[in-house]
Amino acid sequence: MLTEVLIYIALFAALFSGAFMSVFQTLDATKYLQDQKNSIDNLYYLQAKLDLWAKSDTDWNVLSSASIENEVSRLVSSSNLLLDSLNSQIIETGTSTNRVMLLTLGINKKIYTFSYVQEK
Amino acid sequence: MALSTVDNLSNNAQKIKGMILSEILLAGAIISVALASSTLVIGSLQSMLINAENAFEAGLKIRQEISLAHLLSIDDISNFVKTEGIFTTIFSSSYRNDFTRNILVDVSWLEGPFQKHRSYSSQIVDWQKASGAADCNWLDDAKGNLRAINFGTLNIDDFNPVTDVVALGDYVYVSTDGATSSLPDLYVIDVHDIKNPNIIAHINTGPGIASIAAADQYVFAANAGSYQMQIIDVIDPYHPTLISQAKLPGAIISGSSGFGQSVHFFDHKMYIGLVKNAGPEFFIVDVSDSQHPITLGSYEIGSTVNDIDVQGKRVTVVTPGQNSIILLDASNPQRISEISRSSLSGWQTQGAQSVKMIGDQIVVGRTLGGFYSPNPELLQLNRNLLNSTSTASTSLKMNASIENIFGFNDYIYLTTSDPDRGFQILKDDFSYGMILSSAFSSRGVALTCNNQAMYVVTQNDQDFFHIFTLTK
Repeated sequence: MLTEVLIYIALFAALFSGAFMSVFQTLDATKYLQDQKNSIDNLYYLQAKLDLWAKSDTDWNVLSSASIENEVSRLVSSSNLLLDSLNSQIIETGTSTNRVMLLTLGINKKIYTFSYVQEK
Repeated sequence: MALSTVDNLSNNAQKIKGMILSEILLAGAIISVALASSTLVIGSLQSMLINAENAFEAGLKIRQEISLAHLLSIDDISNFVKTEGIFTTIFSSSYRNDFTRNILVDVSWLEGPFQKHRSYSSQIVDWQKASGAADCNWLDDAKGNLRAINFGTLNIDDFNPVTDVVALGDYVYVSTDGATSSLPDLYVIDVHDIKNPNIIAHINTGPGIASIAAADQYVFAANAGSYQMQIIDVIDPYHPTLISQAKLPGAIISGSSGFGQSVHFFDHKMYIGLVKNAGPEFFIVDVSDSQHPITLGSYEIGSTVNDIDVQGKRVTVVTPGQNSIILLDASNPQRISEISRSSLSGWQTQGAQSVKMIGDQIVVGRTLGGFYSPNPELLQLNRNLLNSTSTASTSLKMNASIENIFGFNDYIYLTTSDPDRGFQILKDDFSYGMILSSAFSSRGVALTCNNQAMYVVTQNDQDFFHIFTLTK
């Protein structure tokens, strides 16, 4: 009889601990997924902000790289993202009437390159 | 009795034990199902998020490739495939017109067993090259389906064969090379209302015009006379005015040798081809100042230059001689250099007559060379593989001379010497053969288009003007 009771207690304990663990894990996973979703949402949000900034009438050539990087940093932080690294590059060639700006941003341990075209 | 009670109690205990065990198992099963469901949901959400993140990165890669393509001359945009991390990018471009390329970028990646991809199509336009190029965007809706409309017959002076046609806004200019030099050699047709085209003016610039090009407010002519290049101001289409003409330096005029034969306008320059002579047959003339053109450079082709096409720094000329196609580098017009040349099979009887560069492809039209000639008249060669022994990547036997070639998007429009099929439309890879043809009373000579119609001219001075527009 005592053995049976112990077996039942063990079974109940295993069941309940399993249930609680799975609930906690589910909550944890949900929170992680929510964070991840927010992070992706914020990346799209950042892209929209960068698009708006890059497509303003400002001639990129009159901007210093420091001012570009300050503005981009501001936009990244206002998008609730943590900036690990930032590099900006403006490329022109003799064969084209366009210039291209590449913004290489390190965010969430990943590298993202945002690119824009402006007529010279 | 007592024994019976003990038995009953024992049976009840057994039943209760069995019930508890089955409840526990049921609870376990429910928890397992719940756990499996939540794992499945979380897994699905996780894969959706991974997909969203990868799709975001793929989108950035597509934008980057399209942005970087904007740094190239549109003539240098080429196809490529590259792999970075989990992403494979396929970049492909195709010819739309002389100043536009169609771009398609496809980025694919593997997510578990699934191949995912994002693609985006765009166009890169070089507006600097748009001047002088035909504006025919309405052809997108036409595909190969055009309708000939002839609202009345347009006639010009007798014995004045038509040589070329260009459109500039709502006016079409038709050149002629008559039997007598007293005849007009440029006619202006008002096509504001394509249902009611009218000849509104003409001008006689000299012996006759072999070929014309147009840009801004000017018509640029290769004159079939000793003044091989001419510029006609058409700012007032009712009063076209010859504002400058010149004898090209170094060309040796003898009989008709050295006369103007072909012309192309690109980037403020006239590219002029002459009839074979003892001097150079190809010239580049700066016409930035239309009243004071300056010859920048010349090149001895060794044969008559029947047609010229220009894509950026690359110039293709075609000749009736052994060197059917010559590809030149004109990045420095003062020092024009040869990139490659090709001798097409059957050149002895079939001269190269017309040319159009469509992306990496050179489309060449030749003369008929007799009805029993087995050689094709329409050929396509890859400009990057062009050499003395190169053969056509694709070709068609047309049984007619190909007089003029025009390319737009993935179609080719031709005029041919066969009056029964004087105007033809084909796919740019020649697949399906002829898609549409139209018959005239004389051979097709040249074609052009503006923003509302395509204009085809035929050789005879009577009923020479034909309008094609959307089938409705």
